[in-house]
Amino acid sequence: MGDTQLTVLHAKPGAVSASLFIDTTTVNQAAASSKEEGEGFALYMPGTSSPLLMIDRVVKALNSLVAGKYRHRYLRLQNRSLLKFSPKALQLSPINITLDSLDSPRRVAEVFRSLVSKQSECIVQTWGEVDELERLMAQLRGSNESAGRAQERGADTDLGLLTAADRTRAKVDEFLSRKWPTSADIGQRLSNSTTNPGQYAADARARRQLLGAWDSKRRTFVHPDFQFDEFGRIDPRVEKLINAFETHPDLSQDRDKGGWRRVFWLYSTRPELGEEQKMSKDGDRDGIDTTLSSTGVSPVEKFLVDAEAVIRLVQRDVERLKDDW
Amino acid sequence: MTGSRLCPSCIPTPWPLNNDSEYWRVHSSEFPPGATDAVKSTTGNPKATGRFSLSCLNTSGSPPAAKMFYVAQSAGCALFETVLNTASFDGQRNVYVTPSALKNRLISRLKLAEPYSAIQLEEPARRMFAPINSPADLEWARLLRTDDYVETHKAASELHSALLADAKPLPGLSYPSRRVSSEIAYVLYEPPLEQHLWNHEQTWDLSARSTVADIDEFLQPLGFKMLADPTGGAYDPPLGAI
Repeated sequence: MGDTQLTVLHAKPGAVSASLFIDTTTVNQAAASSKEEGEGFALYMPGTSSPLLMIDRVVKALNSLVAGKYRHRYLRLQNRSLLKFSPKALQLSPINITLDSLDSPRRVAEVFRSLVSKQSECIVQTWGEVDELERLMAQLRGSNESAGRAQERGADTDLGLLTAADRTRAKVDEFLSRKWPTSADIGQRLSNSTTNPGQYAADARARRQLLGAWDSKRRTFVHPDFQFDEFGRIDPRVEKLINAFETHPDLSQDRDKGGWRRVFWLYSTRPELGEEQKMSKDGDRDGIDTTLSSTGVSPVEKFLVDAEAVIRLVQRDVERLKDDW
Repeated sequence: MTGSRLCPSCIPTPWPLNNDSEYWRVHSSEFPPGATDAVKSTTGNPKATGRFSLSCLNTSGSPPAAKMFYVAQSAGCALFETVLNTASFDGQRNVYVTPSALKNRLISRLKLAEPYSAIQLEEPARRMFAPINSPADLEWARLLRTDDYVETHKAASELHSALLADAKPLPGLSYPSRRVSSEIAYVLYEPPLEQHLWNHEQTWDLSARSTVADIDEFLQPLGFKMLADPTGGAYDPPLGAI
């Protein structure tokens, strides 16, 4: 069992929310009891009006935890205030958890591996209408098998425990970890200016020749590296791509000041750019296939070999947004 | 109709839709103007441009042959068939779509109040009027796959005219979803469809921030999840940022 403890909290049936707190027990007990600071790992489950749904999420989370299914890249929670449930005293005491030691994905993965190997003791407690929640949990025990099947399908990478906003934040963090060149990096590489090296990239962005994405932590733009050739120069085809984005209602520079929409668009898979492109003889528009299950590539991957295909995809999206059903 | 390129064997016979099923429809939040969600969700779209639409052939300004009513039996299928048709995906099955795709769009859950039928274009029902691997069968297969909807509009019109000549209105078509291969999509025509044939159950505003969690639940059976829009707040630079 080790010292690991897992506590699930429920609050207010009818407007249920839950937090899952894994106390790694190295938790500084003195700090925890003084309600100042502990150490551990937390997953937050968004509130829902459905107790059944919430408990379903909790059950899936537990199953998934034991199966070691979590992927570290989603697990980014810092300075989140949680209520820690004390199973013995039946008291709720707020503690503020800082997860600095888990900030690196590698460290999170290590902690999770450790938790799984310890076969953590799970203490599930409820607060509120306990009888009703327990009844629902009993009802859900029968659904664990189907939850397991869902896991096998790979459909449970985060089991809905994180919100869309959490996932977006994690995705941005993943992009930022790629160490794309900052404005200053580009200036030092391509400009003779020593007084304001970041200005060169800022000017290129303003001329729609370079795409930047705002890094709010470092207070600078970073620049996806597909835009540079092997000598670090800006690929001239980027200007045409950015100008194509200008025709899109959401992807123009004015509508995407931070650049992240375009980064998401460029670095996500589009089935239309995949192998089934040759389906044009079957009548697909522009040789683009749109089957969900087809294997696609990202626009960035495609851009490197065929920039025009990516520009056509932008244009196609603009047209598709006019579709009506 | 018999002997035509699309139905060489016989006139297709509509087949009843499942009366017990839920049907999900993505539709405009602006049409009809000022109407309740219940009315919006059960009013056909006179300007639809989707697969097999009969709404967009009249360029002369005359009323369309029919208003369109696209539905699916799951919310996930309804979303992928419509607003998620420009979506991109990552390896973790996160779905990203830009905000305009969801703007002014609602999704509604409906149930049939009375029996209704549609011609089944999925296999094996299609074999009853288009023998397998016949030119008609291959043409239907192509029409069900193509994203050049103009061709499908012509085919729907051809079928519509043929049935009218036989004094039988074309009630609708069912076909394998192009976006969710395990599901069936439906296009129903109004007329003969009428508003009172539907019971409206619930409507969600797809562009509302609060709906993102619901969309997650809609996509969950297919194993997908939404990403939020990465704009505003910390995602946007301050003025003059370098």
